[in-house]
Amino acid sequence: MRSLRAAPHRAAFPALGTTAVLLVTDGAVLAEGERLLRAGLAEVDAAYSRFRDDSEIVRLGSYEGRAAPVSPLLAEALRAALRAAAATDGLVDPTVGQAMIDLGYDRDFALGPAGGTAPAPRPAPGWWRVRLDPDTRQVVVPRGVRLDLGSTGKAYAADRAATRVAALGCGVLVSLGGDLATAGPPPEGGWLVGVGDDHRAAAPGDPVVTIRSGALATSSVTQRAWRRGGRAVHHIVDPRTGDLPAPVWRTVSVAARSCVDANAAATAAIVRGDGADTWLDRAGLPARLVGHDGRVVTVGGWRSHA
Amino acid sequence: MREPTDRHQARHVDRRDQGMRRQRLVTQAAAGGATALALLFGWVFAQPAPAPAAEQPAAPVKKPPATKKPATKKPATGTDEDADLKAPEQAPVEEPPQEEEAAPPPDTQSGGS
Repeated sequence: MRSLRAAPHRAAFPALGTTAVLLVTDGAVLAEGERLLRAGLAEVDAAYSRFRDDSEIVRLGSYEGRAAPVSPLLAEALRAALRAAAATDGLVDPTVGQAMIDLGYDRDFALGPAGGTAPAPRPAPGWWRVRLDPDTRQVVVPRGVRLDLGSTGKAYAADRAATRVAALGCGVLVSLGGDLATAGPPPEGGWLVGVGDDHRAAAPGDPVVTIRSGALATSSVTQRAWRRGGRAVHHIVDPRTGDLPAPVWRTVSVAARSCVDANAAATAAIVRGDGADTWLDRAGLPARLVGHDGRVVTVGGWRSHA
Repeated sequence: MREPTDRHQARHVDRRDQGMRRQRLVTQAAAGGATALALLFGWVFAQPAPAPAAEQPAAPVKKPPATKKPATKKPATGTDEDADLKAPEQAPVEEPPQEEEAAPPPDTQSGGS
């Protein structure tokens, strides 16, 4: 009975090169929640934007393989990225920074990716080469390795923000470019989330799902796509080759306990290609996969009406 | 009775020349010796220390802790329990398709970005 349901209170604004959406069940905390979200995202941008020369993650390059101290936020984001890499057997790898640059994604996407000829793809150096000591908050990044937390960094920011806003005493949903995390009690009937190729607008026929806790993330090759060297490229890289993954899945949505896990699984499924549906099912992760040919596969307990 | 000798120079001048030649000889010999010694010492100290005949126990010299080197081998996976993607408590439930007028818009949209 969706029609009887009271819609949650909402704020939306541009952030991290995408759209941030905040939903709360209590309108009285919306303004304070938005303030917390904006402040948190500003911290995230300063810590690990790879498009800012003054960000912590960019300045790590100046240590040239020596141990570097990092802030608690960057340490936690790196920890989440390395854990996601381990959990996906390296299919989601934070050392793909140079591969992204080689594909032309070397600046804020709003400025337009680089054109020209792309160099030959090279495999990512490997996430296991990055050493993080969470206790001393020191990280060693080998010389020449460029980190990109794009995949898990945004998801970690959503998890972090949802937890912070929920401390105000209400139910919260934070969406960063369609990767969303929830915390606190859900609204009556749960959170209603449209699922599709584009986080900005639903397409006809896109399903709407209800979630009551946890997180939902979608990875798609239909967004942040451009042309480079005479071919269409996008922002999801196979770390094993440094090139685009095989075109099997167009869009993958995954539900998990945290947004980092959901995002890692969705991105890994795009990279894995064939067999990703079985892999997600075995992991017990509810998922909806849409192939390049338009076929839809749901696994892991994702209840579909299609 | 001895016959007188024909001498062009006095005897004391000849002795002075001999003394100067001897002095020059000593000076040259000393310089040569010093050079030889310098070369000898230089050669001796330029030689590497002889390698121990057998493996020696580690000298008790304290070294500063080295920066951890980045790993060069991929670690084995699947041993860390924390490195598992965790399923949600409840799976998403798709809403049944409804008439456009009856269906309120979703709260938000999950999609590619």
